[in-house]
Amino acid sequence: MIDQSLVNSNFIGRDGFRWWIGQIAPIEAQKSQQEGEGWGNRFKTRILGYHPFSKEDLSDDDLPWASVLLPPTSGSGGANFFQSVRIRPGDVVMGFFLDGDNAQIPVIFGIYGRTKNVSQDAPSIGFAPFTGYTKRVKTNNATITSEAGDTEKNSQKNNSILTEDKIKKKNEEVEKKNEEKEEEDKDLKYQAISSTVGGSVDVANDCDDDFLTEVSSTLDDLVAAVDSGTDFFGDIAQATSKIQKMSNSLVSSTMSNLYEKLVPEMQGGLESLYEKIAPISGPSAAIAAQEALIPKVKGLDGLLECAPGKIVNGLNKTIQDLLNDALLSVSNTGICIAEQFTASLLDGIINEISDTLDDALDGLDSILSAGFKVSDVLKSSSDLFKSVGAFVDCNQTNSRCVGKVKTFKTGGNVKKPFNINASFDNVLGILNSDSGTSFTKPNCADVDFCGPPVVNIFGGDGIGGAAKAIMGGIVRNTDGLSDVTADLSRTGSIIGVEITDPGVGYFTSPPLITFEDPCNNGYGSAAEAIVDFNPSSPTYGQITAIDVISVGENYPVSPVDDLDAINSDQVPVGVINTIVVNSGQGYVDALVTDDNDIEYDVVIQNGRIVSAIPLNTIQSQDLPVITVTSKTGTGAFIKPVIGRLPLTPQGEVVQVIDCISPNINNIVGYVNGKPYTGLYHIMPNGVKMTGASHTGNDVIIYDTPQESFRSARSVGITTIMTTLTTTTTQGEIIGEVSMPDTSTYTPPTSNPPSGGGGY
Amino acid sequence: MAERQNQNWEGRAVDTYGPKYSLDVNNPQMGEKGANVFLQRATTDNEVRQFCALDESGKYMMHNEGDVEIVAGKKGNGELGINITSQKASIAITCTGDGDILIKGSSVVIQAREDIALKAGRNISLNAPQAINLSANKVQANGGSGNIMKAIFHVMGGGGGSFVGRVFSKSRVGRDKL
Repeated sequence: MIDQSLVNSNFIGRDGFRWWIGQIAPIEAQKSQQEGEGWGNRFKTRILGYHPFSKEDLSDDDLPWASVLLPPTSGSGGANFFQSVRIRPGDVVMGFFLDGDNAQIPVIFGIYGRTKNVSQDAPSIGFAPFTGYTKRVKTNNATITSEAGDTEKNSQKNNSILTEDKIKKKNEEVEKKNEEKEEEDKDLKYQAISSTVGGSVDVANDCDDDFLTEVSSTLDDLVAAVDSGTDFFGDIAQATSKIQKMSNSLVSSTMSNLYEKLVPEMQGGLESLYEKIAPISGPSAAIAAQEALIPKVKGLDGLLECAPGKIVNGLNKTIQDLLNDALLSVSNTGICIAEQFTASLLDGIINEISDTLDDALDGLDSILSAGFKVSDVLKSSSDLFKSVGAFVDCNQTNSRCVGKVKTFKTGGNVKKPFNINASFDNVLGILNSDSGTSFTKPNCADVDFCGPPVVNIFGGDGIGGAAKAIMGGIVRNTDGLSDVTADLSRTGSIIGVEITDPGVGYFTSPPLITFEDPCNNGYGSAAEAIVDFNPSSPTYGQITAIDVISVGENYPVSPVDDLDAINSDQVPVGVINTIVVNSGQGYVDALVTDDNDIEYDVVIQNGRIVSAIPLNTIQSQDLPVITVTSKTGTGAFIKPVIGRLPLTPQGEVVQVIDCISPNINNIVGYVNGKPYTGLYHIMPNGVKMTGASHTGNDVIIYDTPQESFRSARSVGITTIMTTLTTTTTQGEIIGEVSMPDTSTYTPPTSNPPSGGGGY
Repeated sequence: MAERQNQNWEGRAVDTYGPKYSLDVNNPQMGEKGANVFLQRATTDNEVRQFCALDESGKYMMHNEGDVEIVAGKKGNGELGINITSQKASIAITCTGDGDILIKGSSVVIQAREDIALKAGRNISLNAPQAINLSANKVQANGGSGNIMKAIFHVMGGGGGSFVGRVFSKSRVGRDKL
């Protein structure tokens, strides 16, 4: 053998291979090699079995340079193909000697990934593990702190796109769990990926006065910013400035409303003045008395243009005090807090307007009602905010504003719009309740119970959609967390949605779906509404299904005794249907199964999977993944729809709903976009048509919904086919199927069904 | 805050380039709208953080705690140097803080298939050295004061116009006095 040669050449490949394992020396030993002045890719390396542990016996400086053998995929730099070496001090590497037993020319060709148990201490004795960070390559608060490079979940722990308050809550859980763990098993804490996540964005709209929406968002963001504790006074100053600018519209519209109410008031006053003076001093004197008031009224007129700006400038202190009061009072924000804040601010604005107009109204007492007070007029104004009505004229459909999303959360979901009219009424109610200018913590500021998520269905061009969340993947929460989470004994994911009202009128645009729990604990869920856009369908414009795209986690689960709740561990739920997201192509047959080993009855049309129905029903507490396997086809993507499972009279889950595929799946083709399963015949030219035989009233059956729509839209094609039917002979009957009522399905009898319909 | 069970770590792949930059693919940790298909993140020495990601809901995000600059250079040969298109939903440009929105060009065209609404909290100013043209089947002005309102009052009388005019519209005071 070459290794046993008596005369070693000490040349790679001639004497065998001298392997070694070593450790990259600390950065101080790497000298200029790592400071931009290096030659090749070299590292001072301490090699086990060749070099001592003791740095006194062999210092890091005296270690040999080990060259790095790059993988072919990294390139060499030729033609600018190159990837940098990512070896760090402290790394354990493997290599060989180019000079065999002389062991002076080591080469590195591999590196061991670190685990979380590798010490991140400073370098000490040789071969002791130490951190890869140095003075010049250092961690900071925005950096992944894990130096592990393996498949453990803490390895290179990146943070999810979550808001800082949720990160805070997650870290409470991590800390609590770590208390019971050994040092080496402790999990790393989470860090926020960016302060940009979770910010409120109130987009432009011309539908309503935005004041309440923007106050709500500003308070949301302010509370979040203060919680993160970076720049308290700066955050308050910015929020104050923002609300002050927003107040321009509020002050101007409030004054405008006041002046609108002053017109009839003064008109009546002028008439009364005339009638009072004319009988005594004559009409000329009465008119002169009226004319004498012109300068005063003009002075009032002049204020309409200038006063709002002055009033807004004077609001800074009022707003700042209100924000301070609000921050001291509440930890959770929301529209009810915004209503309280707005009422208090409005109270301050009305006082400012009253003070400003006092001088101008002085001297007009003779044409104002006795006891006329500006503040009373404004506070009783039911249309105080509604300044934007003039934007909507007869050519603009008011409905375009209904359900429009006004607020988005960066990195997350949209916010369901609140009822602006109800909020206006609430503001006026608070305003007239003598609460004064100071912010008073409303009852709604405290959340008594962190309940399960509600399904918000809004937007789109329809109304009325409603649904309930089906909870699964339920886990028991860690005991002993903070007060906020103490009542959350169980949390889970949203594995399905039960439609309780399909809504109406979703003809062009489906609604948005969001999930929201009162304590804002859950996150990560996403779903889309599937709407029937087929005008000839009985469910046209309705929500037919809700596709759960992401199940999320940490949503509170209803208590066990809540009979309305659909918790998968109490209520039997499972896959009741599927959504064919992509029907694929080239399928001759296909085996469709899911994580629970349920097999699906598949209907294939023209190489495409058009439907898949579970053959058996079993309870599922998670959203299973459906797998399609086929020797021929590719590309099909099928998603499960979770719902309540059918029960026997004894309350047990019906295990088998179908041993033989029901005829419902025997789709012949499509007519007007809908599956057709009835009798059909084939014309001599190969066209499939409805009915057992040709009658002249038959309709063409197409292979795809799209084709059937295209045909329905084309008058020309209809005409051609009418001609065709009158000149051809009866087609051959090759199939006869009917569509039974699936809810009471019974096997078909031996008698053939009559009639040609079936869609 | 218990995370869900059965997380799929099998498909995770990481590519990191030191503490300042990393690429994380298929990390099953849940975000606000699902787990991330990929997350690319970077940070400066001054801890300004940037990320872009695609989450399982299909939302693609680009965030930067600092400024963002998008520039189309002089070598472009198309009509559109920068083209921002949304094929289904709206496009929103919003300054949530104190910032302004500034648009400038040789000509600025705003075209709507239906309505254009200009809505300001304080003032709207139209200023052109040559002409301002208003053309529609119906042109209407409402307000409490200003020369247009005065003119309307003198033409229309009590039915409209300035605040002063409306207050005195039912009185015996002549219009010339107002």
